[in-house]
Amino acid sequence: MDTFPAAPDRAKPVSPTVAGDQFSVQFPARLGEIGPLITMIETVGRWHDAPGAVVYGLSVVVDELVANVVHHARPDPGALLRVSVAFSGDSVGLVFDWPGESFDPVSFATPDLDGRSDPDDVPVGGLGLCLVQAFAQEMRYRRDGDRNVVVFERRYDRDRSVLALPPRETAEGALSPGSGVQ
Amino acid sequence: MIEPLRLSTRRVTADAAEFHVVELAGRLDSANAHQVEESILRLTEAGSNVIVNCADLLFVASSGMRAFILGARSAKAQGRVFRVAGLIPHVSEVFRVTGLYRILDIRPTLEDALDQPGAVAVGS
Repeated sequence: MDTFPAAPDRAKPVSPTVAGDQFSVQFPARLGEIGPLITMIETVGRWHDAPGAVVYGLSVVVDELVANVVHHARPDPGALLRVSVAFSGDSVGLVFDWPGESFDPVSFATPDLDGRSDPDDVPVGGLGLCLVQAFAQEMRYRRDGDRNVVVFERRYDRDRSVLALPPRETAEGALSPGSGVQ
Repeated sequence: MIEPLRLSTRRVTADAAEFHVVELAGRLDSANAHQVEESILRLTEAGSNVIVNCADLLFVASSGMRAFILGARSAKAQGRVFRVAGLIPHVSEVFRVTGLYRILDIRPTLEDALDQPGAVAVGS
């Protein structure tokens, strides 16, 4: 999973490619690409009969990473971001990479909301990385030449109907009835 | 496939309290969250009680939750209520993981959000 084809010229979006079980797509660094990306992930997930919760989690990860790069990183002008997704058995791997200045989204601190109950006390930044970290069982960053590479891996249980992410709070009864949290 | 975001608002009166209900459907992602944030803040800053009905909202990213947090802050500053209703399981899980379900006033359904006391009658 942690390999992919060589990067193309940095000119324009590149059509998705499929090699074996790996799906890869490249796109400009802009928020407007998120919707089509999520649609593609849903399609690939269906090909592999992945649970809806897993596809949802992957979609969250992709949204957060693209937004992070657009808002905070400094990709090379005209650079294309690349997402590669591979399903294997009951696990999925995702590699997200782009050329540009070193930027490690994995290293950012996430907000600790434990014990907080007032919206005035809640930071509005960092929640995205909190979600990404919760979804990924393995997550790492590395610098590869002029590229930033973030790797995610997650195993899943096909019988679970919801994400079943690690809880921040054990008082599940505080959730609304019918929320489906297991 | 999850459809792009659809957003609409309507006014509802329940037990003498007036609410503006923001109906969200489809996908609330980082590309469209600013629209939701602007719509919510326009209502809360005008002193409205606001309920965001998420019964048809199938995807939410952290940028969407930011809109909810800012709405809750704004409503609190105005002495109004801000409620979130009808989260589907996947979306509810995202709120649980971030811990926001303890911070936001989340009700199972829109009807629950309208029935519960605590709303201040607009104009009072």
